[in-house]
Formats: sequence, structure tokens, C-alpha cells
Amino acid sequence: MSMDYAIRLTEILMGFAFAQQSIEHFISQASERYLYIIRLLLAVMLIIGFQTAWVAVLLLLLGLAILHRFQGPYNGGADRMSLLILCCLCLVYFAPTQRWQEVAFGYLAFQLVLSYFISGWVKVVNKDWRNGRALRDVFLFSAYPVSESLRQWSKSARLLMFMSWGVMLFELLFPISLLSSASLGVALFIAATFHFANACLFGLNRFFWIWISAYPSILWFQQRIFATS
Amino acid sequence: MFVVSCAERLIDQPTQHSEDEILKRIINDLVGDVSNIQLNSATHLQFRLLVVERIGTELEQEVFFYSRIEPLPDRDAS
Repeated sequence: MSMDYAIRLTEILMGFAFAQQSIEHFISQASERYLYIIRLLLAVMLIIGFQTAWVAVLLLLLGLAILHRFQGPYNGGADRMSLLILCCLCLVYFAPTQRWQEVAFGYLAFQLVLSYFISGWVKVVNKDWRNGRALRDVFLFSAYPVSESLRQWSKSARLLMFMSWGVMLFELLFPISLLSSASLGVALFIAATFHFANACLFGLNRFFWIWISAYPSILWFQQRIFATS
Repeated sequence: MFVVSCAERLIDQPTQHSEDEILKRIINDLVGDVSNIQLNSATHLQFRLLVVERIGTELEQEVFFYSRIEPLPDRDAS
């Protein structure tokens, strides 16, 4: 995958992610709605490829305004990932040489790898995650909108233990998938399925769309670093 | 998730902004819900943050925050 193609894919996927996020705010208060109407318009420009460099800069500035409005990233990791992708894209657009463009885009891929690995590491050093209790508590007490029938999963100790170790091992082993394009493809499919499951189970839909937006960078990075060897 | 973020901020370091945002969203929900007769007769609102924490094998509950008491808008007029 060429870098230009990967960047274009990132723009389109991020545009759809931002559009989806923006539409959610159309039923909110007027002060919020104005910010997100502008964001939706900019997202559409990103999708159709109109002046993407300047649109990304405007989206970054709007992101700062949204940070100010909500006094911080109000949607946790999804907001941080949105700003990270925007920052990296802006650096790519305005980098003086192709080498610096590759550094900026490669940094996004590196952060994506870290997002999985560190998440796995934080869990595996926690006893409650190793014995499945942490996930049980998530189903029992989560403040996220979990249905009553899903909360019953908290009684399936062995299933939750299996799920906990499945998630931890996948996240910890994710960097190894970079060794071949086939293994990376499989890993990204599993990761996307994981995000999709979180969206369905806990309503964390923003993570699904915005993490997928960063996938072109790692597909390009894998080919750039490993395919030549 | 924004309400959860505000609640976490109130536990870590209370700010007027986080309290206002939670109150605003609860009031919006209440104004939109006319089916609950008990809520319809309420004149004021206060929320609290109850944290459930696992200590060993036991679950412990502690109230970390009480909001200010906020008058509710007149819902008959809305």
C-alpha cells in the first residue's frame, strides 16, 4: 500500500467517523450542535477529498474548541485517537520532506501498536484481570449501558476468564503480527471484531470507527518496514 | 460517556463545569419524561455519586459527592 493511498483511506475513514460522531450531537443543546454541524461539514469535505490539508487543520482547531467546551476529552480514548490522527495527518501534509512525512505517518502506526500492547500490559499485571474478576465487575457494575440479559454474563466465571485471557493475549501479542502482512491482516480483523463487540455490548461505538481509521497507517507501515526485508 | 467523564472528574477534582453538565443533562431527561407522576411533582433536584469498590472479596459503597440543590424548571409551562 502506497503512503498516498493509505493517507487517502485514513481521510475517508476518519471523515465517516467524524460524521457519525457529529450526527449524535444533533439532538443535543444548541451550543453543542453548532460545533458539530461545522464538524460534519468538514468531515464531508474530507470524505470527498476537497482541500484535505486545510480541512484537517480546521478540524484540529475545532477539536481544540471542543476540548475547551467539554473541559477535556469527553469521550475518553476515542477523542484522544481522533486528535492523534488529525495531528499526524497535519504533520504529514506540512512536512518539508517525504522522510518527515513517513516519520509522522509511521508515528501514528506506532501509537496504534502501543494502544493495544499497553492496554494488554495494564490488564495482565492486574490480578483481577488475570482471574476474570475485573471483566465480571464490568458486566455487573458498568456505568455503560449494558442490558440486563448481558449483565447475567457476570455469572459465567469460566467464560469471562476465557474472554479476559483472550483479550490480554491478543493485545500483548499484537506487535508480533507486524512480521507479515497476512498476520497483520488477521490481527486487524480480530481487533476490529473486538471493537465491534464493545460497540454492541457496551455502546462504545466511537472506538470502533476511529480505531479503524488508523488501520491504513499500520498497513502501510508494515509494508514499508518489513516487506522490503 | 461524557456524564461518566464528568463523574470521574468530580471524584478526582470537583469543578463547577462537571457538576453543571451532569445537572443539565439530568434536568433535560426529566423535562422530557412526563410519564413519571412522582417526578412531575418534584420541585428540586440533587444528585450524588455513589462509588462501588471491590476491597478483597467484599464490595464497598461510598458516596463521594453531593451536588448542589437545583430548582427544577416548571414542567407545566414547557
